[in-house]
Amino acid sequence: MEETQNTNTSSTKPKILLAEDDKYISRAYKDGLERAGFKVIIAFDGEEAMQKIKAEKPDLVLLDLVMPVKNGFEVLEELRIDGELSEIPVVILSNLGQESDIKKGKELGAVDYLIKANFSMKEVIEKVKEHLARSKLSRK
Amino acid sequence: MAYKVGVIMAKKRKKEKKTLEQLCKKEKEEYEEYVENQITKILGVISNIALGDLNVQAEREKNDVLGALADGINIMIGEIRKRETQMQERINYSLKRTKELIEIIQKAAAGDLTASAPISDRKDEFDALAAGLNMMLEEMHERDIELKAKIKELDKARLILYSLSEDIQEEKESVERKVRERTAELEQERAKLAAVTENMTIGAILLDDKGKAIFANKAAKNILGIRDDKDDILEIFFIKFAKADVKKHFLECIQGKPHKIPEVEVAPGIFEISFLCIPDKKNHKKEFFGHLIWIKDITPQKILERAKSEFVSIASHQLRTPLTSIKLFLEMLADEEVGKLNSLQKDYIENIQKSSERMIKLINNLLNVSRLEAGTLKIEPRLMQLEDFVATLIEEAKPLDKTGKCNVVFIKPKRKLPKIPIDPSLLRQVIYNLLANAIQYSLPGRCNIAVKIKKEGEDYIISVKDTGIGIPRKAQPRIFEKFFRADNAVRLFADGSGLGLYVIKMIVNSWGGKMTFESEENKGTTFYFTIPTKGMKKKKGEKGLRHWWS
Repeated sequence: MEETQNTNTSSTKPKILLAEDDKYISRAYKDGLERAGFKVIIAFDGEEAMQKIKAEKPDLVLLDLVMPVKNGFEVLEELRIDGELSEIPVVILSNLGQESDIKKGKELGAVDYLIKANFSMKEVIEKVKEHLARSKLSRK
Repeated sequence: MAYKVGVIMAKKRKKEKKTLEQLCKKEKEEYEEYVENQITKILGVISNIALGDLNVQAEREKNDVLGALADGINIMIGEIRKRETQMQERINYSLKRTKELIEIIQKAAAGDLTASAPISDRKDEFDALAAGLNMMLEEMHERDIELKAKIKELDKARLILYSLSEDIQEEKESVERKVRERTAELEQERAKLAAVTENMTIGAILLDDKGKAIFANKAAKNILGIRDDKDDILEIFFIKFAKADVKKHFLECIQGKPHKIPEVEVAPGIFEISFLCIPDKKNHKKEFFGHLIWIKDITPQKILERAKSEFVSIASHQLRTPLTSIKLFLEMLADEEVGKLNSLQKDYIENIQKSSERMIKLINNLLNVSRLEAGTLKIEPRLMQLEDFVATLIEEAKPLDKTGKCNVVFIKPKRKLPKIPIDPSLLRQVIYNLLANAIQYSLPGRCNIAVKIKKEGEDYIISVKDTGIGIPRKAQPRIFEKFFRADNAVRLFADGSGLGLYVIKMIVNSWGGKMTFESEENKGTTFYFTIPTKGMKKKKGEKGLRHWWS
């Protein structure tokens, strides 16, 4: 397995880091995303998420907000200040729906905010593809 | 006189000398006797005269020297008498004149200055004296008159002053009485005011127009922890609420800008602070009479709000978590991603999905309702063209009509409307919801929906008319009630939350509009809601509306 920094080639699957503390939801997204052709790295708390992002450098992060050890906002803050990591698009996948949370997430640099309960798997996969494409374009 | 006597005496002596020479001695003795007698008589007269008796006369015996002497003496007596009489007259005159003068002086002394001493033609010293006296008396009289007049004036003045001083005294007493009454009134007012201000739970600090604190009520002192009246109220206020930059707000208020800090947390309390400026009504310039700082302890409300909000947040998160995984797994199952399903399996899974979806929708609705009920819905209007926006909303709602059973028309107003401020998310919610209901409660083959915008007076009226099942008369009064669903609606579509109309009515009301309807069972329903022609006013709430589906 090569350590890749960029996953632009079609032969390599895009790497998604999924940070989600509920094991059932985590399993559901993992299965669905893998079936859709992505490589999924899972993390169950914010600290694990940070470690794995630094190690794996994913193409996109699906980030839950309410997580033990470190929450999603803290992760966003840490990613933002890191020069390289701040380039990775982060989609918030959370069941918190308050205006203030959405606002905060976007201010901290998330590219999108999806309320899990309102989005089907297919819709989530669509969003992931959309943001991956965008991020590729912006890097070019 | 003396000369006459002398002459006579001289003549007589000559004769006597002759006589004596011619006579004899006897004659000389007789003559000596005669002379002695005569002289004795004359001496007798003289001594009478000397004693004051002028009623004597010297005898004249012979026509000789002694006879001449007697004559002489008699003449002298006569003269003396004459002189005495004259003297007496003169004395009498002097006495008389003097008496007159004395009388006048006495009269004058007694007060009669009009008396005047008689003046004779003699023009003597008495006349001079009388004239002088009269002049003096005249002057004195004049002065007396003057003085009397002045005294009269002074008396008058004194009387006036006296009556004035009486008036002043009365006035003073009346004023004092009024002052006492007024003081009592003011005391009452003050007591009332104090009763109000000291029992108010809102802290109030009153500042004069220079920005100096002149009064703080009990509540303010408690909040600021002031025990000593010497404390600088403002300084303590600035320090305590420094995190909210109150000094800056205060300075701006002094400039004339009222301010409000809706929420500042200073443990252990949460406060709302308002800066108000009291305009000087008498002064027509835009100056301020003073300023008021309200500090309202909103800790209980805020704690409740936060608790509610936390509950909602937790509930939403906690409930959504299992529902999410249910939803996702069901989806993957139903899509046959993990194996083919027989039709019954598919059927069952669909049922579970529907229930799950229903729960998710219910949670979303409850969250929205909770936010709306908290009363702090944000309204963020943007200038928009009403008809154009409604047209796009109708387009957006098309997917609601999954089977395409419905025919939707949009009736625009005759003339293009001006742009008005509208909060798009709020209007979207209302129209979406009404359209969803119209579609949901219309039977296939009989689904005609008309959306219309009309201007009436100060409002735009938007109506959504359908030819659906209508609202039964019995249900109509309750149609906007939370969780209420009419029986015919439940029969047609079991999964409604009963929150849709409740929520959108609240939304419409929050922007100042009204919501009404007309309906007949089995014929159809028309819902009307208004937007003021001025548009929606910006409202600084805490919450926006999250998208939800009825």
